[in-house]
Amino acid sequence: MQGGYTGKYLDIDLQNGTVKVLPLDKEMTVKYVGGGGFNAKILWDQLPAEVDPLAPENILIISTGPMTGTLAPTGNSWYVGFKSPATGIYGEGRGGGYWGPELKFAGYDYLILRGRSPKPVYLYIENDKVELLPADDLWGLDFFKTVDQLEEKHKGARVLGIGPAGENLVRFACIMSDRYRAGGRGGAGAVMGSKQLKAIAVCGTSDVRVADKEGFIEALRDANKTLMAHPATATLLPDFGTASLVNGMSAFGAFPTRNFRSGVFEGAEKISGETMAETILVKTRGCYSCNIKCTRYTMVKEGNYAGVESEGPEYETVNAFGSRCGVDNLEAIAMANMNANRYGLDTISTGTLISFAMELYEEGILSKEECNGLELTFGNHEAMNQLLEDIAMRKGLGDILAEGVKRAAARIGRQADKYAMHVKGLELTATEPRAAQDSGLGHSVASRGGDHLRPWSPAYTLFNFGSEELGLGGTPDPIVPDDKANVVVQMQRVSTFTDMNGTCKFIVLCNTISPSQLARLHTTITGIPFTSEDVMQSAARVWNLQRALNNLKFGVTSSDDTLPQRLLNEPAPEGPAKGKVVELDKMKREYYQLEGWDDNGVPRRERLMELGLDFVAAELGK
Amino acid sequence: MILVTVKLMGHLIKIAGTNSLYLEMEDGSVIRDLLEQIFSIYGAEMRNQVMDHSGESLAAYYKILVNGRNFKLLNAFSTPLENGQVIHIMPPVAGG
Repeated sequence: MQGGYTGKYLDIDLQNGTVKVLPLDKEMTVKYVGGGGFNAKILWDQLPAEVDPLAPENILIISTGPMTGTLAPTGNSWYVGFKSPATGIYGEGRGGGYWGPELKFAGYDYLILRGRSPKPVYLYIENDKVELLPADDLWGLDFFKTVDQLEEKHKGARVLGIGPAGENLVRFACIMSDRYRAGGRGGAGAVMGSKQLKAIAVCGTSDVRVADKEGFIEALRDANKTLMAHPATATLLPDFGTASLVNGMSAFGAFPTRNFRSGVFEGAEKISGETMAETILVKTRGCYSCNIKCTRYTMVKEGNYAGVESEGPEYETVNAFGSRCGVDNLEAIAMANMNANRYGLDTISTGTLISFAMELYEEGILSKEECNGLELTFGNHEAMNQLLEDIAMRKGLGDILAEGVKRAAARIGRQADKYAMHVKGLELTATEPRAAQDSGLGHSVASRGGDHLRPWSPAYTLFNFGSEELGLGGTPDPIVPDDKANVVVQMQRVSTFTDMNGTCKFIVLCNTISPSQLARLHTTITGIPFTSEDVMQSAARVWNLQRALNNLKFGVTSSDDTLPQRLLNEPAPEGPAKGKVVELDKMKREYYQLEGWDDNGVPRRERLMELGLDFVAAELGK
Repeated sequence: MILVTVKLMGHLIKIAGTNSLYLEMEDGSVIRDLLEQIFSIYGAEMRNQVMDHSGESLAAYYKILVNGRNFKLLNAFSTPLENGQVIHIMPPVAGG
């Protein structure tokens, strides 16, 4: 008996307002599991390669995994798949909260959204009732107000949607859910905005069936025991949230500062998780089926930013609006975080864009007039917060920056590209790769561009969270390239699987839950027998399918698997990595060999066949 | 004499009541001497957090960084102290 899946999905054409309820293909569940696996397979099968990401022909998929909506630890994820308007390649984002489980309770494993509605609409799903309703009175509202209105109108519904940034087609706009959760990266919000779809409110009353209840309870007990015994998930994330990393990353010289000029921030302590706990933290919260509860509910009680109220800021956001912009004012960062959530902006990309503009201003490439009259020096948090709004509303310089750092640099010219920190058009995240060489490799080959989560290998290379099953132990040296390719491959597999099964990465981020524990949970929930080898193999299948999409449909080659010149050619100026650059070529060669990719970074025929991707192999050389 | 800066993180800040210490050590001191100095100031609570039950190794996932380098990549507890060094005592941290 197959559990974990509802067995149905919705195929919605926004152009003519038709809704089809279709059965889930069982082969999809066995080979691709869910989430990013479903997204990649659907995009491979159905997306025209040359499509403009903001054209009606782009497909937007919002999927779940088999653990979404179950009591599996952190079984709360939804995943969005699309061709990215930021990068022009495979786009994917993951969000937590409560929306994903609610979609399952309503009876659907995923949604495919096609076309462009002639007028702004929102989608309302209540079990079998699926309606496209007018959104004229919602269009233009920020995401918080959108949630307020839809929750008032549809009692008990969970809301996913976009803010003004998505409506304005900012190329790094998020899809948000549950007020503060984001499918953050690559511009899914702009794709949703281009379809004139403001929100999806969903309400369901079914349960998610589990195939082997007794076995599942045993597997759950074992997994929760591990999580509650591990310092990362038992105390650190609950007590200090993701921002517990701030001081440590800066100590390692791995905390990007002033647009990656350095990896050491002198103001780290002022914006750390410890400081947050002492100042603006009100209480902690968790997503559906989560005992970790890393979310910080924060409020600024006094000063210029009094009244700012949000969840977070998370580690990435603290870095993006903090050290990246030279800002050591936690309240100002909280303000930027709140407004990014309201407007529906990816905090990582937005912070990268603002720090990029700050460096251009300090280098004399942009004048004050070109910067909307702002004194755009590093550390000017008032200017940072103003520019964030200008980006969301596409005002002046904000309109240029809203195109993403790669396009913005090309448009500005004057050698601005030297300061554009991205991979394949996706802005870099909060690990300085000169101090964690593995992170440089991970960013350069990730399927969605400059991405730190596939995998977050510094958990092992900096913080020494090893894994017996993955063969990762001891004390690796983070500033040398040796043996890093294997680390990235092994950890990439596990993190990719959590992009498929419906859980949050935080159960595996520090090599906490093992592949065999994931397999046990998966088997008991779905009834599909999975071993730890199956976990790794199915993740490899999906990873290689995403890669093949990028290679064969979107034209990615080895030359795209690179990093900004600053990281390859400018030695780190201070900290433990002083004098180091990222030694990418060596790591990349080893990585391609381990993955079974050729010199051009394309999966070899035999590798594709071994992974059951014969339909991809058939396209090689065409 | 050698003057070093010690940075504390996480729960260690509460035990010490501060996140930074400036300590004078004898010439020729090593990391183990520094730890003993810190434990003599802050007592068993600090020792029990930082060290494992044997007292010979760090507690699980604890790290000591010497100018940002994991001390296990140097000479661990025997790593010599030098004037002006910054020593981080780091409990497990996680995020991403």
